[in-house]
Amino acid sequence: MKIQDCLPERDVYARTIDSAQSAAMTMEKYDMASLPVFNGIRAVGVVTDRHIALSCGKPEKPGKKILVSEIMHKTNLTCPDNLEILEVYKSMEANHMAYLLVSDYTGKIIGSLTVEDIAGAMTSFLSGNRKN
Amino acid sequence: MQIKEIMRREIAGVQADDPVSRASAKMKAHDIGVLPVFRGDDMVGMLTDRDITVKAVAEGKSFQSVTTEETMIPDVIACQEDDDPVKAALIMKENKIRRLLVENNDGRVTGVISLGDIAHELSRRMAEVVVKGASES
Repeated sequence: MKIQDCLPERDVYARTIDSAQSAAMTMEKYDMASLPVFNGIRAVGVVTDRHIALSCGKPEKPGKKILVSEIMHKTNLTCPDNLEILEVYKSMEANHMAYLLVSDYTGKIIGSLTVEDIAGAMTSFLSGNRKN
Repeated sequence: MQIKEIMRREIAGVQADDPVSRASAKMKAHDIGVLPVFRGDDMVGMLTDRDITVKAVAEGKSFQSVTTEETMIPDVIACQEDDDPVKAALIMKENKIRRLLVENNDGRVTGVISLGDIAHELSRRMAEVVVKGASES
């Protein structure tokens, strides 16, 4: 099972200047838990639904006033989408990483993944094997 | 391996009429992604970080006024302390959530677990299946 099999959507992203509300609406629309974040044409991080949820404790700052740049996880660590998920998970675990950007064969960033996305894919794999 | 070996035992709860901002602050303080929701002493549901994001933030609601009751899952979705981690992962998959409450045999919530907490065990099981499949082919 490859990384490309776990990506919920491709080419859906947030920008650093977007609001938390805008990112949340995108996550709801596409049923995604994380979005790659771009500053112009450069991928600079990942924002997750958890990042957004934890930003709600800040006093009197509505979602449309919180910028993605303020809450995202900054990273440019990327994995190609044709790698096996087990291989990627072991690398993430060894390096204490919770998020990754994902690129296609041209190097273009096409999505992001969290450890939980990979765990969900592993669950699907194991449940499929249980039926066999 | 059983869930009780890897679950988070630190439980924080919220009241149904608490504002979402309070729930968010508790999730951050305890580094967890799910809270049981109570009305008095009765558990009436559970609230995950995703619920806050899609039902409060995406809707443009005020975090100080929208309540946990308005954003929660009006159900208690839980696994048992002595469940196998794969069973817990399947419960999450069936309910399309990534966090679970954990109950003991008396039905009392004793912890929380996330898909991320189970990932290591899932990877170990998957590796076993992959190796077994390769050796049989």
